[in-house]
Amino acid sequence: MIRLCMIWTALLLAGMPARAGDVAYGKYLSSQCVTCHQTTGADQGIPAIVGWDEEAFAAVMLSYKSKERAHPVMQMIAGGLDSEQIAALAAFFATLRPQD
Amino acid sequence: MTLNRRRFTALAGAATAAGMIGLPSIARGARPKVVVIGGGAGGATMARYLAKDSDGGIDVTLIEASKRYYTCFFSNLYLGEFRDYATIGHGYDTLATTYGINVVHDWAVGVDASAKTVTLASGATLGYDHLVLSPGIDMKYDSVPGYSVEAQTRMPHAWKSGTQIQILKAQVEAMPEGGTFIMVAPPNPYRCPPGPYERISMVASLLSAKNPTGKILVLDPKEKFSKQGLFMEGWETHYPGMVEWIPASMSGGVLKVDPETMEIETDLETFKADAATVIPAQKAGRIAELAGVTDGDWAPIDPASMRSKADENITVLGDASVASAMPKSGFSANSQAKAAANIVRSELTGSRAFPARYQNTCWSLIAKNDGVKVGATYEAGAEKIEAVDKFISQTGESEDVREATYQESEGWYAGITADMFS
Repeated sequence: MIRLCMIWTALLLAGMPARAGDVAYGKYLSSQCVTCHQTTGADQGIPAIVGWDEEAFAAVMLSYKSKERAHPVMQMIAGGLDSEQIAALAAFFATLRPQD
Repeated sequence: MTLNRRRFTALAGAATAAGMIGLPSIARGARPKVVVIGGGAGGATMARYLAKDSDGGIDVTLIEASKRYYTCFFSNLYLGEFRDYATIGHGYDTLATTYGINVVHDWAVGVDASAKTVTLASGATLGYDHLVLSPGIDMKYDSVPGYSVEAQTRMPHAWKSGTQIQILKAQVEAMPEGGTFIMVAPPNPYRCPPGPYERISMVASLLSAKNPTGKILVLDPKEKFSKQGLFMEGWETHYPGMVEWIPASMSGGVLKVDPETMEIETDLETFKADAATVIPAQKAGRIAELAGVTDGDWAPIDPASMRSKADENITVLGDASVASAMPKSGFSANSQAKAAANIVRSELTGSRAFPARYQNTCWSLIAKNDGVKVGATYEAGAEKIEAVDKFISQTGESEDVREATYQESEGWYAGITADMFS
């Protein structure tokens, strides 16, 4: 079973674009985002981050990480995430849709 | 991309199936039971995430005395009339109806750690596979001589929201023209480090509108406090001459308070208050002590899981825990709850476990549209929770930045209360 998983993983990594994120990991990581950013897409005072294109989401997070975008909290949050974690978050938030 | 995603999902499924083989015996029988004591930022979040993410796979009971929970965070904004009282109240309906959490409005009065049972004030007993304690704080009334649970109506601590903050607001409003408001501030460590100074700001805001010759005195056992530069700058800007902060090195400390005469005695002099708030020293909510997980006033935890160092079947969240670098705040408790919920769920159901990550931000309102914040990210060190990175608002920021920070705090309030109750 373990060997099979390893083979699958190798196949998967070979064919997978770098940005494809681990949705389950992203869901866990997202729990720390939703203290402020609501899963419903409500955006009073704090921007909505649900339903974004994955690439756009990752690009924004990377621009906070590199401090091109100015916001001390987001620079700190993004600074603590590696590219795999950002991809995971992008993949998870892309699965959500804004609610009325 | 689509194909890859599908294959990735299949792999994730296979990995989960493989993980199931090593499940603890408990998950093969009846649903594992988790009892959560305390329905605040730690407990409500924990109960909600356990029930939601296990899809009913965990039997979750939440024990909370209040049928309606009034948040301590933002209670200062009610004091300053930036919030109606009703807007800081929240019910447990959705936790019960949407997630199937057994919400029990009662007090937990005992824990038998060896039998793994909790006793309620009503006399009922509940068994648990895992117990979560998120009881918040209790007051150490005798830390301020003359103060007591009986005195808290005359000199409200108002440090647990609810009727206390309503009484305090009424007393500030009833102050005579040019009267004096006195705060006895708490010693470290206490719930919400910037909270006393936000309270001063909100009382100042209220007095500026209704009683502009009123005075405010802060008698502080500390020599410095959270966001001190930001608050002091703001008090001078918005309320010039109104607020006087006196550290213990100047006053000699508070020797005695008298709730009958409203006198507060220090080495420096005896002050007479027209309204007062006395915020005493604090300790973990009593049930933590009864459960045997405290060492002194607070409950030590494993930094990677928030599990009690005294009992592996008990998780301690929020103010009651020794979270080291993390302040005692609603944000911290909510953050800890989500990291801990992932770990507890994994152990009970075999779901994927991820390393704990923690964060906190504390916003404070100094005056209308003048918001400031301080925050940090944290991770588990070998012995304790350690800060990774941090930030704080700067003195001299533009009005636009401060207004955006205030708006952000309003967004956060909506977010965290949704994360607890919706």
